[in-house]
Amino acid sequence: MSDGAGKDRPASINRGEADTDVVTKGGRTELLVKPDQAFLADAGTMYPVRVAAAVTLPVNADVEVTSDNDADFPGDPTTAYMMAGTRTGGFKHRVHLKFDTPNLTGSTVTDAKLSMNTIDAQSCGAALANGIQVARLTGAWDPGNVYWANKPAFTTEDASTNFKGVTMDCATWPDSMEWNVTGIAQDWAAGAADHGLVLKSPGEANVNNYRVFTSAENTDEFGSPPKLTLTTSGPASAPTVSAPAISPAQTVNGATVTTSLTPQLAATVADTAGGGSLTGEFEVEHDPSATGQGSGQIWTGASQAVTSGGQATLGVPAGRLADGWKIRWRVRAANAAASTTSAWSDWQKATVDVPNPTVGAFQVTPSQVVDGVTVATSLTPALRATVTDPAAQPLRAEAEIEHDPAATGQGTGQIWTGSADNVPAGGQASIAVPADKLADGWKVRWRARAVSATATSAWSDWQSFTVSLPKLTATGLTVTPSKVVDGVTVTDTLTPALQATLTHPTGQALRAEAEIEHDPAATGQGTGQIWAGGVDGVASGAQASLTVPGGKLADGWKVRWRLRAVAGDASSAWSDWQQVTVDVVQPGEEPLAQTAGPVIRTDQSFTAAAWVRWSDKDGDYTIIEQKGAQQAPFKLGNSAEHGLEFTFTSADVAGATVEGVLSGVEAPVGQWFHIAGVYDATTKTVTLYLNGAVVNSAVLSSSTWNADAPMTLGSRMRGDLDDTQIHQAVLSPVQIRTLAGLANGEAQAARSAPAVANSPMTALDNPDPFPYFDYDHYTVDSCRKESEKESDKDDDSIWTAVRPYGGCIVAWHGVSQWEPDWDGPSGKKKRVGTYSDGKSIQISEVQSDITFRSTMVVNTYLGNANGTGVVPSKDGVTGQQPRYISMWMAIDKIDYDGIFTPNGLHRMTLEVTSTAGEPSSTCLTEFGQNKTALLKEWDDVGSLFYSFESYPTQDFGRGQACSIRPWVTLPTVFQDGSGTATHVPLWDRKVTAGTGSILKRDNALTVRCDSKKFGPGAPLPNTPPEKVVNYKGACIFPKAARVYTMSMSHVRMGEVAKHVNTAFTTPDLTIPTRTNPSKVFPGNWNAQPGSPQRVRLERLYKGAKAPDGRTWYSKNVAEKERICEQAFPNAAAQGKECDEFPFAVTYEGAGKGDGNYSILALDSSHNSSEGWHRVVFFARYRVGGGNPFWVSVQP
Amino acid sequence: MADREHLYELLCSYDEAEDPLPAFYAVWCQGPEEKEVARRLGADLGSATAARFADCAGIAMNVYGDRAFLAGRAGTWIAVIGDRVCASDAALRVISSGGAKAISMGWGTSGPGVLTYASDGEIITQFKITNPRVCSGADPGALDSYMTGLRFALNDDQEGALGPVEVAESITSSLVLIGRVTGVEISRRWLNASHTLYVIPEGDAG
Repeated sequence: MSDGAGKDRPASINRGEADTDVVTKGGRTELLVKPDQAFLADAGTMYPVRVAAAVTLPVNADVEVTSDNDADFPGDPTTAYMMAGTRTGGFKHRVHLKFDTPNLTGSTVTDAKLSMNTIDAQSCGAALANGIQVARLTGAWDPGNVYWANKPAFTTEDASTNFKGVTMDCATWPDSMEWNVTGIAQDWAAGAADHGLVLKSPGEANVNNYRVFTSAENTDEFGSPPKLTLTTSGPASAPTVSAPAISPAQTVNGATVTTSLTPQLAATVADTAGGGSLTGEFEVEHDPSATGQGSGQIWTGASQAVTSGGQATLGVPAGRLADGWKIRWRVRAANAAASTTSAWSDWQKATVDVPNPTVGAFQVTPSQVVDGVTVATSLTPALRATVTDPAAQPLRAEAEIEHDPAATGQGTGQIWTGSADNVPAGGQASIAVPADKLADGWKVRWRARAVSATATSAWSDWQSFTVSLPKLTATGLTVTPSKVVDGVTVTDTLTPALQATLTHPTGQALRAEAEIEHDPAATGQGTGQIWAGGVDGVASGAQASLTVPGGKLADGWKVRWRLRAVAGDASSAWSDWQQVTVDVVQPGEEPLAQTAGPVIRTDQSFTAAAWVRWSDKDGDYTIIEQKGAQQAPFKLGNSAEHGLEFTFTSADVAGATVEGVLSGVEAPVGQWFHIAGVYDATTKTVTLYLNGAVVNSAVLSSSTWNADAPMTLGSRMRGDLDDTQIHQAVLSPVQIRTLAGLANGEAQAARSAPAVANSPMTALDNPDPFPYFDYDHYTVDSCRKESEKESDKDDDSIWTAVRPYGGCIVAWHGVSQWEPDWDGPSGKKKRVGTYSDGKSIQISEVQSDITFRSTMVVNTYLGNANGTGVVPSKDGVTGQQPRYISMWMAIDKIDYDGIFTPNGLHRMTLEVTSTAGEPSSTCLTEFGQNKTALLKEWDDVGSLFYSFESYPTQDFGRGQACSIRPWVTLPTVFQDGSGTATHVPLWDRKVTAGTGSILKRDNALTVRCDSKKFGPGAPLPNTPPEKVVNYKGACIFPKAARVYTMSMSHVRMGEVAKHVNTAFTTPDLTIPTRTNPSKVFPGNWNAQPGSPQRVRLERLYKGAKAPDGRTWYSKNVAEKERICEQAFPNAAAQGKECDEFPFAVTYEGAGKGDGNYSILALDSSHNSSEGWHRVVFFARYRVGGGNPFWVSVQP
Repeated sequence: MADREHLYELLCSYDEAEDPLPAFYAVWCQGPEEKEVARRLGADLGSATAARFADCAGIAMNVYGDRAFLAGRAGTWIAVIGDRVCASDAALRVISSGGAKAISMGWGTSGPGVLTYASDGEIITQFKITNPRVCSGADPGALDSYMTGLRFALNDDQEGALGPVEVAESITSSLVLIGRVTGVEISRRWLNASHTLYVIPEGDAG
C-alpha cells in the first residue's frame, strides 16, 4: 500500500501494510483488503493511497543440473536438495527454477524477490567467494529431461548475486538467501518470455563456491521451497464496456425497436492494461415492465475475443425472441487472461417488432395504359404483384376485385377474390381472374396483400382498371370487281368477292364473316338474307376476301352486304351495309379493249386476225370492230345463223346492206382457234381464214366506207381473245398461216408430239405456269404399248422408243437351227441362227424352233442442284444418284417346238453386262443378277430390276458412256450341231461402220453420264426444291433428240416463238431480207427428216473461235447488232430488244456468214424470259458445247 | 484471259455452271441510302437478309416467282445487282429521282445490254455497251470523258495490235467506265463481302 507522494518521485513514496483475506458472502467469493489503519491515519500519508498487489508465488518446477549430467543421466527434479555454484575439480552446478507467474503484460512491477532456503556452503560467511548469481533463463527446458548439454541459455541482464554462505556452523541455520529480481520481473512485464530463473556461480570458475538449497520436494525436513514474491502497482487489468448497440433497430418515439428476431448485440470493450484480448458478455432478459410475454433471463452469450478498444458483437440466436416482446439487455467486458471483468452496462431496452410481408408493383396483364388509365384487354386478366417477406419465406398472395364505387350501371361491391400460394419472397404473384367474373366495359378496382405464416401485410391501396376487350376492325370494304356508276357501286359478276382489311389489336389471325341480303328498298327481287359466309386464318392487317358462290345472286339485283371481323369470342361490330347493284355485262355491252382512235381505214385493204376461244358457238360475237355512228363498216365474228362471218356494210345508215363471207362454219368451242379476215380493196374481195386455212371468199358489190372511230376488241363476245393483229395491208395465205402458228402449211395438230416437250405452258391453260421437269420415263407396260403403235422411226434399229431420260426395246426373237436352202445347189438345210425385230414377229420365212419377247426399259436421272441426289422420279426407284441407271428386263410369250423340250422343263438364263464406253470411266452393276428359269416359267417371272452406276476414273471434262447388253442363253437342246450354246442378244447388235470396237458401234442401249453443273446461277434462298433449275450431273440417252419446244401462246416468251416460227415457215419475211436464194433455217424439228431445215443446231463451246480469230459468240452478236441498228433503230425506245435466230450460242448463228439468220425486235421481257427457258432446257437436257439440239415451235 | 476481259471473267467466276452467268444486271446509285434505293425498287424491306453474290448469282434470271436484288455500299454509291427490270430505264428514273444519280449495265441471254446513266429522274445518256457511238438521252456525250482507253464496239480494231473486241471486253469496259464514274470498280472483295438481299414479292422479271 502506498500513498500519492510517489508521483513522479518514487523514492518519496510512503508505504504501509494491507492484509487481505478471502471470504464468502451471500454465495459470492470476495477478496477482503484490510489496510493498516495507522498508516491511513498518519498525517504524513498523502492521499490517494493505492493498494499494491504483492504475490508470493510457489515454485512450479526446480531441478539441479550438474556438469556430470548427460542425456542418459539428466538432472533429477525430485531431489530434496539442490546445489548451485562450482567446486574445485571443475564441477559445475546450476539450479533451474520456474514459477507460476501471472501474466504481467502491462503491469508495473515494483518489486520482485527470490527467496531460497539454504543449508550448506563451502563455509559460513556474509561474502563468500564469487557468490551465487540469479539470472533470467531465455530458453525453454523440460524439468524431467535437462542435462548439461541441453541446459537452457540465460542472460545476465538484470542478474543479481548474493555472496552469503550458510553452514551448520553459522549462527543461523538453516537460513535464507534472497535476490532482488525486480529487473527480471520487469523484463517479463515488458514482454520477455518467462522461462524461469537459474542459480549459478558467476563465471563458473574452477573454485569452491557453492550453496545447497532445499527444493520444493523437501517438504518433510524443512518445508521451505523456493519463493518468488512479486509486487505490482496499479491494476493489471480493468476492463471497461461502452457504446452498447442493437441492430437492426430504429428509434420510434424515443424507444429502440429492433426489426429482427435475431438482432445483433454489440459494445465497445477495452482494458486499461492494454494488450491481450477481451470478450463481450451479453445478457438478455424480459423487460420487467412488460406483461404477457414471460419474465427473467432469456439468453446469455459471449462474443469472440477482440482487442482492447474493439467492438464485441454477438447475434441473438433464432428461437429466443418473439415478435412483439419488450426486452432489455446488458453487456460487460471480460479479460479472460486476467480473470477480470468490467461492470455490467446499464440495461438497454428494446422492443422486438419484425416488419410484416409487403406487397407492391401492381400489374394487370394484359393491359395498357391509355390516358393514364389502366385498360385490361382481357376478361380474364392476371393480377400481379410483387411480395416480400423479411423472413424470406414463401408467401401467399391474396387479391380481391370489386366494382369501382364511382362506376354506374355495372353493379357494386366485391366481384371476386383469389389467391396464389407459395410465392417466393421477392417474387411476383400472378392471380388469374377466372372467366365470367368481369365484363367488357366495367370499371373495377383491386387490391392485394401478402400473407406469411406469421404475419399479414396490410391491404394495398386500391388499383383501378377498366376492362376493354381488343377491338377487332374490318375496314376498307370493297366488292371486286366493281365500279361506281353515278354514285352507285356496281359489280358485273354474279360471284363477286367481298373484301375488307381486318386487324387484330395483338396481331392474331382472324375470321371474316360476311352476309348479303336483298336491299330492303328494292322490289321485285325478294327480301331478306341471300347468303352468309366466312373465311378463317386472315392475318391481321391483311385483306380478307370472300367470294360469293354461284347461284346466289342474280343479274339486276340490288343487294347490300356487310362484314365483320371475328377472333375467338370477340368480334367487331358489323360494318355498315354496303349497297351493291349486280349488273352482269352481257355480250356487246363491254368491249374487252378499246383504242383511243381509229387504227385503220376501213375503206382500204386491211387484214384483221386474232386468236379466240369461245364457250359458245351460237353467240352473236364481234371480235374486231371500228364502228361508225349507226353501223360498223365490217364485222369479223360469229352469228348463230351463219357461224363464222367476215361481213361489210354498205353505209353508216340504218338498214344498210350487209354482204361478205357468211361461212356457215361453226366455231370451235372451248378451244383456241385462229381467225383472220382479209379485205383486198383493189379487188373488193373479202376472205375468211380459220386456223390459217381459207374458209371462203366473196367479192363485195357495194363500196366500203371508212369509220373514223376508235377500234374495239371483243365487242359482243363472251370468251377469250389474244394476239389481235391489224394490218393495213393484204396478208398472204402464207403470212396468215404464220399468224396461225402453222409450219410449212401443215396443220400442226396433225403432227405427232415431239420427242421432247419442254412443257410449253400458258397462263391460260395452267394456273401455275412454272415449267416443272418431267423425266417422261418408260415402264415395261408403256414400252410394250409403244411398241404396238405404228411408228415412223427414223432408223431401222430395234429401239422401240428413246427419250433423253429413258429408252426401251421390245423385241421378238426367233431361233432356228436349220432351214432348207432352196437357193443352194443341193437344197440342203443351212444354219439360220437368231433373228430379232423391234416391233412384230416377222419370221414367216423362218420356222423358228423357239420364239420369245423381251422388254428392256432403261431410265436415267437428272442430278439436283448440288448433285447429292436427283430430281424425283415416278418410276418407283428411290435413292438414285445422278449417275445411276435403272433397268427393268422382262421375257415372256415364249413359244417352242415340243420336239426339243416337250414340257418346257429346260432352263434358260438371262444375263446382263454393262460396259463403260470410255477407258477413263467405269460402269458397274450395282444391283441385279443373272436369272435362270425353266422355259415354261419365264412368263411368270415378270420384270427384273437392275441398277448400274457410271463414274469417271479420270475426268477429261466430257461425258462418260455406259452401255448395257442383256442376252439369254438357250437350253442346250437348242445348240447347234457343234455343241455351242446359243446366245440370243436382246439389244440391237447391228454394227455400224467404223474402225473402233464393235462394242462401241453395235447400237447397244448406251447412256452418257456427266457430273457437270448446269443452270442459270445460284437460285434465291428459300426457292422450293421443285423450282430449283440448277442441276449437277445426269445420265442421258445421246441417241434421243433434244428438242427445245417453244409455244407461241406462251404468255412470257410467245413473241420469241413466233419469231422462230416466222423463220421456219416464212423465211422470206425475215430480216435481213434475202429471197434469192431463200434463207434456210436449220434446227426445225418439225421439218421433214433429211431436209436442210431438219439439220441440227450445235451449241457453241465456251470461247470457241472462228477461223478469223474472233469468238463465234462475238461474231454472232456483232452481226445481230449490226442488223438491229439498221432495221430497228428505235427498238430500245419501244421497250424492245433484238432477237436472233439461230441463237447466238450456236455455230449456226448470224456470224456464220451464210445469211441464214433472222433479226427481229420484240418485247424485251419475252426475250429475257425465253433466255431463261433456254438455259433451263440446256441444263435439263445437258446441252453443252458441241451438243446438237432442235427447236419445235408449238401453237 | 486478257486483262481487257478481267471483270467479265471475275463475275463469271461466281457461277460454277458450264455456262456461267448467262445474265447479269447491276445499277449503282448515289444519293439515297440503301433502304431507300430498295424501297424505290419495290422491295419488301422486311425481307432483307445478308447474302453474298455467290449465294444468288442466278438473281438476274428469275422468271417465275419473287424477284430479288443484292444491295450494298460501294464507296459513296449503293451498288445493286438485280434483274433486267432493276436496270431498266423506268427503274433508273425512279432511283435517280430527287437529285440522285444512277448508272447501270448488264447482259442477258440475248447478248450484251445497254449502259444507262440517269440523274434527277432523267436519262442523261444511254448506249449499247457494244457500240457507244450510238447513244441517246438528254446529254448523250455525258460519259465520253470516262471512255479513254476503253474499247466497246465489237467491230473495232479487228486489225489492230490488240486484236478484235470480244463481248467479254465490251462488258469489262462498261464496268471499268462505271468504276471511273463511281470511284469504285467492282471487285472480288466487294463480291465476296456480305451485302443485303431484298425480295420484290410476287414480281415478275419476265
